[in-house]
Amino acid sequence: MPSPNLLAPIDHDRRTERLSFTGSGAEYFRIWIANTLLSIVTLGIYSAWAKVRKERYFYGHTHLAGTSFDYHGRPIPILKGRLLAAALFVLYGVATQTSPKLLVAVVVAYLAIVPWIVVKALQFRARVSSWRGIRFAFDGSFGESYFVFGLLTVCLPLTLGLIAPYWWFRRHRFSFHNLRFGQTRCTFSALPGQYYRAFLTLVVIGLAIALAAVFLVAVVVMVTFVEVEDPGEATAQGLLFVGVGYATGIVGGSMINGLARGLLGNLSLGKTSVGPHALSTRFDPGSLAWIQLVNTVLIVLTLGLYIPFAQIRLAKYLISNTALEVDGDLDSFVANESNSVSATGGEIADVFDIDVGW
Amino acid sequence: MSGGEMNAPSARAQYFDGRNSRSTAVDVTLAEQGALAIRGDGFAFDVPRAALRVGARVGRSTWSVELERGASLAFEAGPDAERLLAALDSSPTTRWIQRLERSGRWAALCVLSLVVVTWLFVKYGVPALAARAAVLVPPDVERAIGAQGLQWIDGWLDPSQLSDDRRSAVEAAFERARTAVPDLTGLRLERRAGGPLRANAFALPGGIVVMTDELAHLVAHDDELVAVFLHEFGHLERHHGMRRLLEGSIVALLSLLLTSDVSTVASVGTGLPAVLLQAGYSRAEEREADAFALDALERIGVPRRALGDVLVRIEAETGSSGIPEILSTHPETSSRVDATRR
Repeated sequence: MPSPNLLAPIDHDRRTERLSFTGSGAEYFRIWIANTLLSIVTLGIYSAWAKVRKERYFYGHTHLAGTSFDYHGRPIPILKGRLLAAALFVLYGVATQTSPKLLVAVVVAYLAIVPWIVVKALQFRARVSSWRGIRFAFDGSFGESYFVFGLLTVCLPLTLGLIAPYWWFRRHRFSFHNLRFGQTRCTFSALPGQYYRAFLTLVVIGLAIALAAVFLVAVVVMVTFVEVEDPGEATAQGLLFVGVGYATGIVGGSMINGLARGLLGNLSLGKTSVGPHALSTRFDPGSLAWIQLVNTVLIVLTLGLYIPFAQIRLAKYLISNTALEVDGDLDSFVANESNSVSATGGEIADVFDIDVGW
Repeated sequence: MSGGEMNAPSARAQYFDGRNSRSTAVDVTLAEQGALAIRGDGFAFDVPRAALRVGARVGRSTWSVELERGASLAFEAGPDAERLLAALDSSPTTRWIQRLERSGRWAALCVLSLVVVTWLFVKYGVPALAARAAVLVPPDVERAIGAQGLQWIDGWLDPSQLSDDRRSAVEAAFERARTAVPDLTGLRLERRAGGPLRANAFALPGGIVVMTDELAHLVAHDDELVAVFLHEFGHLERHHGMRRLLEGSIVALLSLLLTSDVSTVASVGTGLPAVLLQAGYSRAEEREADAFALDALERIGVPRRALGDVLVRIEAETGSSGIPEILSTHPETSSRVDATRR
């Protein structure tokens, strides 16, 4: 009987390494609930420690070629960043509620500062992430960031959103093309045309979902509408219709969110290479729409207690559908000279919810 | 080797030198004074305790220890690694947090405490914070917010169309009400056609009181207008509008900080209870404003029942009682009217 090696021609230089995620919802729930409770009773101070523990949990459960990723962020710098971000948020809140002139100033200041924050956030995130003892790094320039997150953002409403796909293309290119693993540069190979095709799909399906939602609400209104004289009953009926509309919005919104994650994830992460090794993703937009829909419905029904399970579920899908097409070997990446970046950028980005990832 | 050393905690790990991405399988044993003895195929060295950084061990994920010059060890979670790392890092805090994170019973207790703490905080903490902060808001800022609010309201309310004598009656009632509250400054009357608001009056931060023409026509006696104005002055005196704004901001800020990783869609869902509670604050505030108005009415010799009468009239006109009380921003009129007759 011939040995298996003779039957299956194995190319030792090329192989597919699939990423795997081993976290579990039941285990993470305990960590999440402890984090949340301690953050609340310490008036938010613990949230910096909670963030480190959360990231370490997700990184430590993400495996590639027998080794997991590691998160090196420290609580104290993260706490400082959060305090600064909270102060900025309060300033922003006061400004938006007091004077329109001040609001204009804040918006201008925001546009001036966001590109800087994005760079700092991406630098921090890369710097505190490692695999096999090799840290990531981010080389994106402030100039490119001001072009993408300043100029193109301003142009977005001016072009009635027609450059939105190009804007996303540049955002992803900025995030991934400037990433470095040790001394190995990452390259991003998606093209603007692919983003336009993805957005076209998204708009068509999004419109279909919106139409279905409107139709559903209309049917509910027609079936349950009764002529009422009493203004009180009329108000109750109005509330019911608002509730139905609200629920439909949540359902439709989460599905579109899932579709977008899938379509754009395949174009961003899925078109990135680390040196000679190409990442490949097999995100199915339909499956992601379903996952997001179920997650959102369960989060609302459990008043938030499903959040940790939802995060695990999403992470499991995204990570286990990502692979590295290895060309050569994974043992010869070389580390770069270490440098330190403050956590502030990353934390401001967190609070202001600037989505800089995929 | 002595027997004691044989029993020293020991675990398998991956060793990374921090210079390239090769992974080396090693045996790690606790040596004297917290040092680690690292033994692999073809190499052996010890790292003193001072050169180790033990990372937080979260769940059964990979646990890591950072060594000098970027080198590190990665342990698969398990009893061996737990024993070894616990010997290196066994501060009471670490032990306590790990117990919290690992036990199902603690998790259940956490859920319960979370519900109670959140409820207590939103119910008592946030209003108390907002009440303290509202007093500190400079009058200029409050006036600016009120002016902003009026501008917004003018977007969908038409100018007042009262006849001259009705208008002067309303203005006279406003002046009478003002004499009852000499300490309140910046009071200003604004009249508008009610439109969708029908018979209504409300106060904006900084001292603006808006009254609709429909309410001016609805009252049977001008004393009732005085009662309405004093009720609104009650809201202003207690900074209710400002407090509401601040409460909203505090809740928004906290939910943002605590759930910053929740997707936007989900936070819409978690925001709902806050909206319901907001309506709850307002009911208590209405009662406060009523009590303030009743006191003030007595001071200027207007019968207390003026307030009860106008409340009944507004209810009959707008039918506001049809909304269940939990969703209503105004408490049941009958209970408020009862209070005016006590």
